Amino acid sequence: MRLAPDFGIVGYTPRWQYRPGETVALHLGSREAGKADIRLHRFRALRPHGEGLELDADPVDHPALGCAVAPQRTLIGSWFETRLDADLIADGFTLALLAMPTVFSPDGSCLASLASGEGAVTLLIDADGRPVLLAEAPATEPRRVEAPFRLRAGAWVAMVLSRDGPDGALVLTVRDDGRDRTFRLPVPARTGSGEAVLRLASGAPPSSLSAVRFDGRLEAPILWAGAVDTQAALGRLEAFANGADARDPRCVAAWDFSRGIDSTVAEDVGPRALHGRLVNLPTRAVKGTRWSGGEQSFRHAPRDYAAIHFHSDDLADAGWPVTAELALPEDLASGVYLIEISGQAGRDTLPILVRPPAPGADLAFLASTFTWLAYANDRCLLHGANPEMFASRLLVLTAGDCALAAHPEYGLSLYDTHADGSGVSYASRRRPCLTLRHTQRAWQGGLGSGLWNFSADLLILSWLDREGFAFDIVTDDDLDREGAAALRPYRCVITGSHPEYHTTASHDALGGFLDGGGRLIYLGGNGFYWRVSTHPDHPETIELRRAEDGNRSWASEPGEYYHAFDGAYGGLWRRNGRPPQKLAGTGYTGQGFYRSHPYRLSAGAADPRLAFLFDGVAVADGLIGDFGLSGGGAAGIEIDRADTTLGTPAHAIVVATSERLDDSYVLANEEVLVNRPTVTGDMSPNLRADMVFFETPAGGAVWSTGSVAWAGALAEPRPDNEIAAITRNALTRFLAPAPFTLPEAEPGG
Amino acid sequence: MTTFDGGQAVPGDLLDEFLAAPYGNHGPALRRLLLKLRSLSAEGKHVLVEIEPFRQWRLARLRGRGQPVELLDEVFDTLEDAERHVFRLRCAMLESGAAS
Repeated sequence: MRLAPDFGIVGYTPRWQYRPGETVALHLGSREAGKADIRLHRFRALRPHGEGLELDADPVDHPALGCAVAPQRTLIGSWFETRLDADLIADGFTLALLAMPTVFSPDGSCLASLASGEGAVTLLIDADGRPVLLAEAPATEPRRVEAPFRLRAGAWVAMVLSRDGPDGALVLTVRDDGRDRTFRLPVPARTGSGEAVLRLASGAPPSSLSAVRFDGRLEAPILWAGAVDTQAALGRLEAFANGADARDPRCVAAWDFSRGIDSTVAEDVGPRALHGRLVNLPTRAVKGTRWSGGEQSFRHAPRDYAAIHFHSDDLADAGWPVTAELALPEDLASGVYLIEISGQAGRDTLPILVRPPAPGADLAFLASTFTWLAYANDRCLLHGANPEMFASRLLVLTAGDCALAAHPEYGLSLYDTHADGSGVSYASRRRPCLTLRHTQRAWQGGLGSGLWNFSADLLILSWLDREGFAFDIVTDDDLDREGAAALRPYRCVITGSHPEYHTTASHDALGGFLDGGGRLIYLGGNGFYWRVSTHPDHPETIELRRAEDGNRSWASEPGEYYHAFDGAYGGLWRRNGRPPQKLAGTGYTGQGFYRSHPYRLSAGAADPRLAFLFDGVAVADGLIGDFGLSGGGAAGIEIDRADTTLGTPAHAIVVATSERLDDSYVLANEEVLVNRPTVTGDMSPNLRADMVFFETPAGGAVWSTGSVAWAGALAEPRPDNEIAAITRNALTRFLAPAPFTLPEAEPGG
Repeated sequence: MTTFDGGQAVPGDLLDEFLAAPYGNHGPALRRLLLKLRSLSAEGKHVLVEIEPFRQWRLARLRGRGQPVELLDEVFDTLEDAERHVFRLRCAMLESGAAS
């Protein structure tokens, strides 16, 4: 395919959306050093071509742009860092904290480090769980000693690390299940002055272990000047964890992780306000040592949530330098653009979305930027889960999948688990997101093209372009920032194939748009399903908790269902009083990733209210959509059903329903109270894709297809494509000024 | 009911059914066998790597978290042939007890 990335060059843009005239910062890395040329293309279409797919894109005129590319280093893993005057600890120090390692990395884990000058002392844990003390100083051999005992993964311990004066030994005491164990490391005399750096969950900046992190939870770190009696330090640590004031004459700092949970600041409640910085978004709003189960939200019981969960594979910002800046022409039309970066080292092609300076069309395409981000760098096919069972065929790895396998430092998706098995709750755009490419294909896309998510959504844009429907791009992020105002200029909003993730504000925006008479075409499945949150300080990041229900590739820990970013109760929108049926008439009911199927028109399809939909469409045998690029049918992959008990309006018409699904389809587990063997194929009456239409009281309307595979059928180039004809009819009517009217209520209704 | 525990030869009729049509409408016994084989753990699992999208694939094996994919020698011009090859490999593993 044209402009296909081979990932010899890899890049990212810090945002995915721009306005004409803005400058796009390109953060680029490459397999080898060299030069690269940068060219901008306007995406027009993805279309079947022979056995494969071809890209249709137009070059955009802009001044020639080139740059030098080189390999980049990514600092992955989260940590805590604070800087202090080294004189404060010139006579030694004592650091006490509570710790729960969750996995012991084969390469070792750094729990804490303290650097002053060019020397550093580090508390690490080896692959067997054995604490190790390490002292490094310039021009001397590093000194190292291993503890004669081991820690246990998943068990909280109290730790006191101290050094008595500049010449004193390092001493570590670990209190594990009431038993104290101590070991020591004699350290040569060393003077450090100027600035000292304390890190938790990482090696120190000047150390050989500066990039070695930690997996686990830490709580209530306190730093004192000089050596404090170990028993006294343990006592004060317990009191601090219980909420007591940590200030005492020798206290340098005491960090209370229960404060400012919605921030990346670790507040020092000691005398000097030496607030710590949290790098790469470790997970907050997690249970600490004091959680009893009595409260479920950190807002109700902050003390119960005074821990931070650090992961060696957290990544909020890859931190690559800006390699080049691309100034977007002022006259760019709204749409998807592809930034091609090619050179001797290879090629990458980064998509960006361009929103118009002012609304220019009656139709807005709602780009599912939250969903694309949730799936960014999905590695489930590489480890852990068993998607081949869902795929019902061998997994096929693309160039992007192979690049992800070779580059763990590009970070994880919200579908993955961390190295310690805990779920990934944060996803950031400030890193290479290799799945966001026009070439993206995945097992989830079913037999056939395999297009999925962003690339499947490109099929809808391709069709709009081919049909000549003018549209503006609006994104989930716009809805989150601007609310319904972002949609108000438009008569109709059309979604992508899979608008799964929404924030409260983006969900409200769609609801507000419909309340104001807007028309919504939901051209997909499994939409409006998970709640996510954004954060003003991290605008390119979303937070997710896979709470009590739903199809989950991992599950949040009990007691950790509330988002750190905003305190919202995470999980399914259905569990937050907003089943998708309430908004769109249909809501997720099941999935299968192998074949898709046709719909059979219902008796309701003949309702005069739907005359516009079938105008000029010949449907001989009642079946539509027995073809497509996504599994060979229009109904499939992830599917939705209508259900008045979940909010489908009583006057909604179920226009069509999927015909007999195969056994690779499984009912969503939120539909199953007691597990049963009738959850596959056509065994469950609830396992079906429904197409639904209804009018709204404000003169608008909603048409939902209930199927991710719809986009694949829409794009199939056949002369009599009734899926395309029906979609054209729906869009034409939804763009017409004439208001929709609610049907007359039935007598007694 | 066949349990497909390790050390068991896969019945010849199931082999024939799959090899005749890897993407066919399989009967319940073959579906059960395929679910078992496709549920093998990810590490060491056979996958395909695209050489040329939609046209040519190479056999490969997953090497576990954070590890690059191990490319093997076999190359296929159709996905059906790749399915047949891996099915034979897995049935042999099942028979030897390596895939139980």
